Amino acid sequence: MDKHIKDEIAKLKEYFRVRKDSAAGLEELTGGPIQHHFPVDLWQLSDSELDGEMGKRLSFLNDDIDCRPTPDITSHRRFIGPAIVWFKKLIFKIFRPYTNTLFVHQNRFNDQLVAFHLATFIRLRRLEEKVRNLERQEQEIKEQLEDLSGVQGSHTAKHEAD
Amino acid sequence: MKPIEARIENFFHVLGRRDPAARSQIQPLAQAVARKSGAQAAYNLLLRSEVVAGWRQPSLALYDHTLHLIGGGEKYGCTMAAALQDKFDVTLIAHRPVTLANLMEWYDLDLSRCRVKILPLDFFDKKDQGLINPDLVSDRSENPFLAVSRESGNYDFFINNSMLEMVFPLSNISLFVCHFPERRKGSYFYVQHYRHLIYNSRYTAEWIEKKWRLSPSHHIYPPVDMEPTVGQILPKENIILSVARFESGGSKQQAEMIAAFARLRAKAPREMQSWKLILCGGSASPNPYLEKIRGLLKTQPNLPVELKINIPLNELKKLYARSALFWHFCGLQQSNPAHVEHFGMSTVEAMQNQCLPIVFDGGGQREIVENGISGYRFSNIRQLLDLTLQAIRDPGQRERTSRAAQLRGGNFTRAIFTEKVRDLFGHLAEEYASAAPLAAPAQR
Repeated sequence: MDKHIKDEIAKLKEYFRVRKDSAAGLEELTGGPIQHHFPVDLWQLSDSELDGEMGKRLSFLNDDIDCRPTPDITSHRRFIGPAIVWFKKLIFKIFRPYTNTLFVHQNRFNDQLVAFHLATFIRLRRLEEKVRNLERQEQEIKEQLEDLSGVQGSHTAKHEAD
Repeated sequence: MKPIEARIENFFHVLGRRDPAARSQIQPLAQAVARKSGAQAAYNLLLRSEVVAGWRQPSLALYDHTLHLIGGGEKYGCTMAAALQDKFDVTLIAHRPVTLANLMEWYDLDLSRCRVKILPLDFFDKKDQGLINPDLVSDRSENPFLAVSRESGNYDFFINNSMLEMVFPLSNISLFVCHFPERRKGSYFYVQHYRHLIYNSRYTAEWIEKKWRLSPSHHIYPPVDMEPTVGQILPKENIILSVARFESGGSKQQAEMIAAFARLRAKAPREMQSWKLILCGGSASPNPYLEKIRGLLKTQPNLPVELKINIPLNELKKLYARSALFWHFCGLQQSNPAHVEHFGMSTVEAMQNQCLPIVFDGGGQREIVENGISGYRFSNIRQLLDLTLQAIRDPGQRERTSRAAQLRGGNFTRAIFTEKVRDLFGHLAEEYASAAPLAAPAQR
């Protein structure tokens, strides 16, 4: 019995291995919906997490400065598909000078805005560093003052005893 | 028609008894499972049936995206693999070249019955000097770790030892080892799909609940094996030791240690005359923080501070054995919980060598050092200075507390870790090889 069922399982395993390897994504593999993204609540983040988030978002903005459309033109039609693609690309090329003039101003604005944000981000970091140093110094001065008053107290007590 | 779960259970019963009826059931059952829950579920059913029938031992994959680098988390995973290799067919999944010989040498482990599988990830090869940095992944890109998810579905058990929440587990039994929840729930977050969530300290568990709103299920402290053998016990010298990586961001705070040591010498010059501070740790090169430390020491040439960078293990053991006191600052004046020590393996290493720990009162250190019994915890530099001077002025008390520290350090050994791991996986394997339905994941 073992051999027969072993063979049957091996055959089925191979069949399902091929099926799962050809599955496009997780939903198809698991046969159900999956939540892939959770919205980030910025108010919940700590300072250093916000710092990371700012850096990440800034890099996304930087990637998106150029807002000219670059559509991926394809067609699923078997025979006339290539002709449709060629025609759409041609139309797109003809109108590009007009659309580009519209977007040039926007691109310049995006560029300036990203640079401004980056400058603000750098200034914020420097200010934070300064604040941290000041807090550290304040703490050290406080502790040294406490040490001094302790020493002074013991001297006074000694004088009084004398 | 019975519900599919009952049909599966019945099939496993029949299969376990070597009943010929099993043969007629398998194909329709696998097809029904595939229709209901996808091809992966049908494949998983077949995988488990081989183990239930007793034809092979369960297969287990342990994934770590930084397996090629030496680290505490990687040691945790490899020690797990070493503990399980007799009962499981273990595969270690990495992205960059690494051999079993490397891992065995780095962590002093026997991994001879394991194998390594390298799974390249093109996404990162083109970016950021090839570093596998999960922060580069966002909802704007495809999930590069989908390849790991697919691979996980080829094993009975899958352990994600990477803290990489972007790997969706497809195996029958999945475990997520969390050393600390560094990232928030965001893009491609799948930890809630793991059947078991292992954590390394109560501090980590607390933050898993706060950040991810998930309840971790199994607590296993990391393995620490720095206990000296008889020949390694040396007389104590007047050394304050720090063992911590020289992080480029300075989170281990070696610069603050130098400043504190200078203050200590100014405060009690006579008593501190024979004491020195040794800062020991690993460092990548180039490291601007290490250069900053070197610069600091150049400005204070009379301060007895020594740097020991990337020293071999036997030299480190000798240092622990010779040093009387141990300092650990990680977490001091930090607002980010990820920058506080999640556990503190080096503190335990010091304790196992009767090196009295004086550590920052936060994170996992609170679980290791019992304040005033097996060491001391401080909240600010002033307290640190007072506690250190107290320990220096009273050698008798220092020796007693050091002995208590050594006893305490014995609670975090490799033997205890191995026992806990074998216990947990023994139960899981037993359940898996039975006909009973698998226990549902803990309520999250």
